[in-house]
Amino acid sequence: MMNMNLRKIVIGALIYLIWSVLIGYFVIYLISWALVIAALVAGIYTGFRIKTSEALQNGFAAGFIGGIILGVVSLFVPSIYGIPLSIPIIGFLIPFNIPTTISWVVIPILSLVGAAFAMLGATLGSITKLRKLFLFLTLFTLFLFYAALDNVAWWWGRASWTWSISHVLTHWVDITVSLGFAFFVIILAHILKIY
Amino acid sequence: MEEGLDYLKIIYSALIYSICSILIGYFILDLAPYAAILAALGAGIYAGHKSKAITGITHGLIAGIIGGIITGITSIYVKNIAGIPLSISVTNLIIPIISSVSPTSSLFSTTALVLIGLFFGAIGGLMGSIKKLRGVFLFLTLFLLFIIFGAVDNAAWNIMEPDWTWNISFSHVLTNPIDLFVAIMFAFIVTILAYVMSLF
Repeated sequence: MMNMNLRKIVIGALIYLIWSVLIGYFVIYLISWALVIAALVAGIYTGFRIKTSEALQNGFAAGFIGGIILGVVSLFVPSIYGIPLSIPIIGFLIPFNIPTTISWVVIPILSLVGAAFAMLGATLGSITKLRKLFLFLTLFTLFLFYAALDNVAWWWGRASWTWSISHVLTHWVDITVSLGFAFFVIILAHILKIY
Repeated sequence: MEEGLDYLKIIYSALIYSICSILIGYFILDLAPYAAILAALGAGIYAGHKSKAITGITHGLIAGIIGGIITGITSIYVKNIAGIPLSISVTNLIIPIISSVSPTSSLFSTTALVLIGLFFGAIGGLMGSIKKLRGVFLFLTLFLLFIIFGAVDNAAWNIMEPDWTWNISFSHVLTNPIDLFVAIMFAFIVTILAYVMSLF
């Protein structure tokens, strides 16, 4: 019997959509991995605190629906403030020699990638012992987004500011510090028995 | 049945008070006058987390006293780190309140830190024990995490500069009101998101 949590699926699909757009827009160094990271996070959320069999169904649905929405968004919103909203599709597809022109063909690819990695994430999320992975991945992306927002805020007031700076908003320094800090916080949370 | 004291929690809370107030006092000049209060509240909320109200208050109170003594002693023996003064916010906090008090008085600083820790630790302990206020705990934790992350990230960027030296008093420009504003807004958004997603 299908026992899916619709609210979790909807939120999971939105996480996949928003996370991949944010990473694709702000973090050029992670552009090839944005889809995978977004789908994993969405999947881990949908599988959080439920049985593995249900988690797999939730993850599949969230990744599939999120992929369709993402594909449609990429077709109708090609750019924001003149900067291409590549939504990591191109970055992800280039290594596989797949044509990178954004078209309807992209939608099934996004759905399948989303469903596959969201199912993997959901399995991870449903395993109690692996929940720290959820915290780590969430903290890593949160720190990265905070760094991007903070950089935007800093650049905003400058006379030389243009939106084209957005693709250098995060640098490998930010990524390294985010990874290190997220790992440090995980260790602290473990010692303090918060999680 | 009476709930016993969790001594491990008290020790961790005291360390949180001590370390957070030093980190904020060292890195975040804009928050220096509030560093001891913020740190004591954070430590208290942790001390009262998943405990009964009376136990939470007791945990916070004891942690505040121990943490205040540790921070006071640290400020006496470690005047600066890499040439940059370790103000631990006490001086900044006291000067506007009692202008006649000598900020260099170590004994006075330690007493002030203990009193701040005791009072705000107990309030934090009470807040932490109230289940409905756990969003406040998350917000405060995220805010502190973001702001300290911002400082570390800025430090990493500064270290990359070719003319970098520890002698310049960069530490007090590591964060500014923009970082604080972004950290507050982002912590607020994430807390709302966590609430919508029923994560706490």
